This record gives sequence, C-alpha cells and structure tokens, in this order.
Amino acid sequence: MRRLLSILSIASALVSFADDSANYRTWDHFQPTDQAVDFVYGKSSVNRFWQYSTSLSEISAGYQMRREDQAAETWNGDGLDQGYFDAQAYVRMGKNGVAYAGAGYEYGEQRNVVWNSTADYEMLYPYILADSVGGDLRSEQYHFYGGFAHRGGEWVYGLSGSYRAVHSYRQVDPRPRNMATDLEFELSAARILGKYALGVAAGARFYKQVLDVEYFSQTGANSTQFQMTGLGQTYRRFDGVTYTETRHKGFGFNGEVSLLPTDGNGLFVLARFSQLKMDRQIHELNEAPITRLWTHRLSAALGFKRQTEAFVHALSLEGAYERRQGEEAVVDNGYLGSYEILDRHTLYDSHRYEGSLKWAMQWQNDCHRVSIVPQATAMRLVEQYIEPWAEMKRTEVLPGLLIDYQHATDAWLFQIGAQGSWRKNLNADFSVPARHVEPEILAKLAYDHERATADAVLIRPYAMAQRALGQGAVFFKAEYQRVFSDYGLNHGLHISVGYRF
Amino acid sequence: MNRILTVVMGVMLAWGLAGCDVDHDENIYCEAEIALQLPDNAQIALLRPDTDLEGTFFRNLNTQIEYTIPTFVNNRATARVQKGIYLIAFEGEAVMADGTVRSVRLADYSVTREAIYLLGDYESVTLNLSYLQ
Repeated sequence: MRRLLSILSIASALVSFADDSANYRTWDHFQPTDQAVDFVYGKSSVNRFWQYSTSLSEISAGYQMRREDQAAETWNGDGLDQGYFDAQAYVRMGKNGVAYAGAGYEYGEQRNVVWNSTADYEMLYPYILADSVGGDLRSEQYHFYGGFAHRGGEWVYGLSGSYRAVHSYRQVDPRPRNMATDLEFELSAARILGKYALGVAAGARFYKQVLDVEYFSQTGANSTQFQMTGLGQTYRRFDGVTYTETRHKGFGFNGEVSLLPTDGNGLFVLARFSQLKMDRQIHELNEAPITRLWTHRLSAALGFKRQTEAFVHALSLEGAYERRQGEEAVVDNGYLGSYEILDRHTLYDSHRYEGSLKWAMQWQNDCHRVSIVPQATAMRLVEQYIEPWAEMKRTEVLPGLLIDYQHATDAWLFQIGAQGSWRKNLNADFSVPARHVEPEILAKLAYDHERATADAVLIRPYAMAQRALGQGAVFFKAEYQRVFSDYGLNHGLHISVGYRF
Repeated sequence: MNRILTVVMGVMLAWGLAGCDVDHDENIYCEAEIALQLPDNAQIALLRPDTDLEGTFFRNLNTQIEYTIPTFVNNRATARVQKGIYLIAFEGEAVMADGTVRSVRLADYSVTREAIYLLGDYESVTLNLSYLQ
C-alpha cells in the first residue's frame, strides 16, 4: 500500500504543477472558454474583481508583419512591419482587492497607405482627410491603463483609466503628421446579491487629434487633400492643399449594467451604451467645426458558464447596434474672416447590426486541456448619404471554429491551436451615382466595397511554449494568419517573447 | 433588489436619452422663390440661360454641387435646393412681355462675398439683372 502511494505521489508530481507557479497562473488566465463570457469584464474594474483567482504579470516584446498582394482596406495599406514592447499585470491584493495595469509602446510602418491621411481612421470615419497618392506611413503609439477594485462588505467599488497617444507621419510628399491622444476613465460599483454581483459603471472619454499635411515639393502639391464626408462626397470648398491643418476633438460617455456570478459558474449579463461626439475643425478657418460625427452604440450580451473539474462549457449570445450620424456645417462666406457656422445638416447616416453566438467547450485534467469553440457572427451595415442620395449595404455571416490544446507540467506549458472562419456575403448593394463623385474617389469606393463584400476564408494557427524560470516563466509565441480570397496572397505573422511572473 | 434595478435602469435610460440630441426630422431643403428685376422693371415672359457658358452656374458654395438654373416665367421661378449659401450667375436671352428678345446677365452673386443665403424652409430672393445690349 505504501509503495502504491509512493508511485501515485511521484506520478502526481510529474503531471501536475504547483498552484502558485507561473505556469499554473498562466493556465488559469488563458482559458479559451473564457472567450464566451469575456464581454462582461471589458473595462469595468468591479467586474474584473472576479475575473481571475490568481495574480499574473507579463512583460513581452514582439514583431508583427502583414503582407497583401492587394490591400484589403486601402486606408490600412497593403503591409505592416511593427515591433512592440508590452507590460501588464493583474494582481490580487488579499481577499478584498484587485489592481491591474499595463503599458506598451509600438513602432512600425504601414505600407502603401492610400486614401487616408488621418490617424484612428475607424473611429473618425467618414470624416477623414484623404488623398490618392499616399505612401508608407510610420507610426508610434504609447498606451497606459490601470484600475483597481476594492470590496467592502457587500459592495465592490472600482476605478479604471486608460491613455493612448499616437504619432504617425510620412517623410515624402504628401506628408501627414498626426498626433492623437485618447483618455478614458470609468467609475464602477457592484452589489453582491447571493452568488451574483450586480454592477453599474459610467465613464467618460476625451479625444484630440492634430493633423497637418505638408508638401515640400511643388510637384507633390498637385495632389488634392479631400475633406471626405462619406460615400464619396467631400467638403469641396475646403478640398485642396490649403486647408490641411485639421483638429478632431471628441467627448464621449458610456454606461453599463452587468450581472455576473462571483464563482464564475452561472449567468452573465451585460447591457452597455456609449456615445461619442467628434468635431472636425479646420485650423486655417478660425477652427471652424465643419463636420460633427455622433457615434451611438448599444450592446447587450447574455452568457452562461458551467465549470466542473473536468469539463467547462460556456454559451453566449451577443448583439450590438451602432449608429453614426454625420452633420455637415453650412459655413458662411468667410468675408469677415470668422467663418461662422450658419446651420448643420445630418447628411451621413449609418446603421450597423451585429450578432454573435459562441459555444465554448473545454475538457481538462491536471495537465491537459482541450478546447473547442464554434461560433457564428452575422453583420449588416447600411450607409446612406442624404444629398446627393447614395447608399451602400452589405450583409454577411462569419461561421468559425477555434480548436486549442494545452499541456502543462511544473516546468513547461505548451499551447497549440488554430482558428478558422469563413466570411460569406449574403447580399450587397452599391448605389453611388457617379454624377457628383470624383472619378478616382468613385473607383476607390467601388474597390473598397468589392473587397468588403468578397467571400474569404481565414486560417490562423498558433503555438506557444513556456518554460518555468526562477519565480516566473519565459514564453515564446508565434501566430500565422492567412486569408484565402480572390485577391492574391494575404498573410501575416506575429511573434512574441516574454516573461510571466 | 427591484428598487436598485429600477433606479439603475432609470438613470441609464435618462442618460442615454439626454445624449441623443441629433435632430432626426430636420428638413435639409429650402423652397426658394426667386424673382428677377431689371433696371427698368420690365417683365420677362421667359428666360433662356446659356448653359454652355462657364459663367453660367447655380452652385452650393460649400459642397460645390451644381444645380440647374430654374425656369423663370414672368420674372419668377422656384427652386428646391439643399439649405446653404449659393453662387448664381448667368447670361441668356430674355423674351420680354412685349415679345422682344433681349440679352441679359446676372453677375452680382457670382463671388463668395455676395453669396445668397438660402437657409430657411422657405426663402424669397430678388436678383438684379442687367441688360447686355
């Protein structure tokens, strides 16, 4: 009997790993099934109080590469080379406190960026500055975030904040130089009701971007900078090379209500809304705000997770609706030099609907974990321009599957997996009359729409190896992505190395 | 529990509604009634602008969208345009009330400084023409 116990003890030591080791804590933090209920943690620091039962910090450095024969998104270029440093920590402070923080720096170059001179294109769309010449665009970005949550009795209070700064530029004509800052903070509180926590959060956002496009060569100055206003339209009075110093100033707020099980088993609910108001001002026109973009977003999600020692399964249904309304100002004749705003008209309008269903299953013992996450997403986007009338629509579905395997011992942690998805367009409509659109802009618009509605298959295999070292563990991760479509080679690579402790 | 939920949802709803201050029913068009006036107050039965000339235009100053110059009958025309400020200029033939044909020109509103403001739901403007001969 004693011999049998000894054998079991040795076997156990070989296949399991200490609860406080970096490998164990990594195992705790990187569970693919969490993807199904991650929506509830988001930015709300009180919800992060229950996210993990262990602390984990990480410092890493990495490189990202992307190459496309034909750019999938012209504004994003057809390639990327980017290096980065990143540090993040999630620290449990006794039973009643959690703090988390992160900082990162990225430096890289996007290749052949066309029809975009503005940083944070997706946030500011459609009110961006653009030209047909473009070129490689270098950028560096810093970001910091942090938050904490503290429990006092049946209440948990939290505060979180983040700051991001972007600097992008090009050293040949046309030479955009963008400097953008993005500051967010959020206050949150949760009341513990039995095994559940009912949380509320409210936050604010402040955004600013200073953009200028310069030309050092008279030849380069022949390329027009277009003040884009949506679906091929531009604010033609201020197109050209004179009014290129623009400011984007934004203010937004958000709120959410959530319900989550404090032990991680049960129902997860989230309802969130946000609004962002963004003015585009032209410096040369006495800072006249020629456009204003309102972005309203409503999202709701429902999830369920059940975890036993050997099996975890989680199911979630998420839905989101985003509406963008763009107002264009009627600027006076400027005779007195003040460029008064006489009126505003809502001319751009877009509706985006998204829904997704995920079902995550995970089988595990002390040293093996197999996860399968089938998921499906549906999206419909309707963009309209009121005068002159134009409309673009598309509906697509993206069924996908993630398969992940992890193996852990005291010394090693291995992860290997692959994600695949298929983007299938269900319908598309492109109704942009050529009469009032510059031919080159119409061609670009048609290309972007064609690419966005093209069917494609994405495959993303990845692997990670982690070796215990001292109090922590070093890791190496590699990820390859390939998109199969009718537009030639489109692939990317992401490698990173770091230390977790 | 119910009281907490009611208060929370009420605050969220009020906040959300307060933020939605975009006017969804705005009228972006102006019905403009345009009258012509000649130096001698003569009546124009029908105006035929020469649309082949570069100097003939009816243009939104900000969007630079060109509109067709409306048909003037008995010195008057109506036009439905996007609210904004406009430049308008033309040369053309005016068939006068007595049957004579005169060449006329509208040039006073062709530069930014003299743009016409059509910002209301309904606007009335009078344009001063001159004779070319």
